[in-house]
Amino acid sequence: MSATMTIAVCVMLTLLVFAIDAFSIRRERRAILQVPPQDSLQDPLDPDVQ
Amino acid sequence: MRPQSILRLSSSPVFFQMSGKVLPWLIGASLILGAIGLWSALFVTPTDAQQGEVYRVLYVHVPTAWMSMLLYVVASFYAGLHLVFRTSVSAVMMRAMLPTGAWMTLLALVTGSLWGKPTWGTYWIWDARLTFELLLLFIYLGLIAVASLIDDERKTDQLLSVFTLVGLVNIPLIYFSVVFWNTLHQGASLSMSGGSKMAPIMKATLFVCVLAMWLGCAALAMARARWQLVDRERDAAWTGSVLV
Repeated sequence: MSATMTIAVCVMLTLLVFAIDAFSIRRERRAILQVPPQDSLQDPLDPDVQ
Repeated sequence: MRPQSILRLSSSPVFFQMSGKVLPWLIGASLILGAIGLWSALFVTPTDAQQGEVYRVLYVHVPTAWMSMLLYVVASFYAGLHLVFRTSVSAVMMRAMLPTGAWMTLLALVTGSLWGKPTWGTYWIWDARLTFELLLLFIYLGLIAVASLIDDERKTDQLLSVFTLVGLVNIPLIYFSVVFWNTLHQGASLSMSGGSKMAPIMKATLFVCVLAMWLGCAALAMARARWQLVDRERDAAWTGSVLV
């Protein structure tokens, strides 16, 4: 592999890793925001909750 | 900053609010410095007299290697804080450092090995520094596995804090491996005593690249920590406005 190619691969890999990590945080955030709080999961008509 | 202000940051709603304000600045500064560092590394700095063009890999390799160690030290700091104060912020900060730290360690190993082939003639050698850096990757992966395997968050936090602090012993071994043992890996690129042989423009570029990487990693860890905090305290009153 030529020197230019080696440098290009290293730079690309670094950018890719940052993008993957940022994307995984975004996915984690979406999943967290989609799960409703524990209270809203309880059925208000359920006698056990009363 | 007053001690009271620092203590206020251990409050979950204060941390969430403050990190939300700091995050765009961290990302912006990291992108700007990263662009300047990359431009200077590729087009401004001169070719190395011994290694030729391939030495430019160090502008990526050195910052990632430093971040792999620094993130572990910061995670250990939060692990220590968690064992003493047991706050949610210290727990999520400790956990949030681990994936980014693992990525940085993997990057340091891969970029180092890509640089090693034209320079040393091999992608990998069981050299002291390389071996301890590989061990760091396994420690990160082990801690991530522990964090995700156990359901009880409080117990996991304590276990994770202890394991993280135990793993800290590997960091001085990585850093001083080039001093303690006869290694193929070169000595420190920059030293506190100012004994660096690098040209000033190379040193300045490396410093900018390290700063950009540090800000980028801080932004990633902080972003991950604040959402983990929301998830952990989803039944608390302060998360009501966030989870709407």
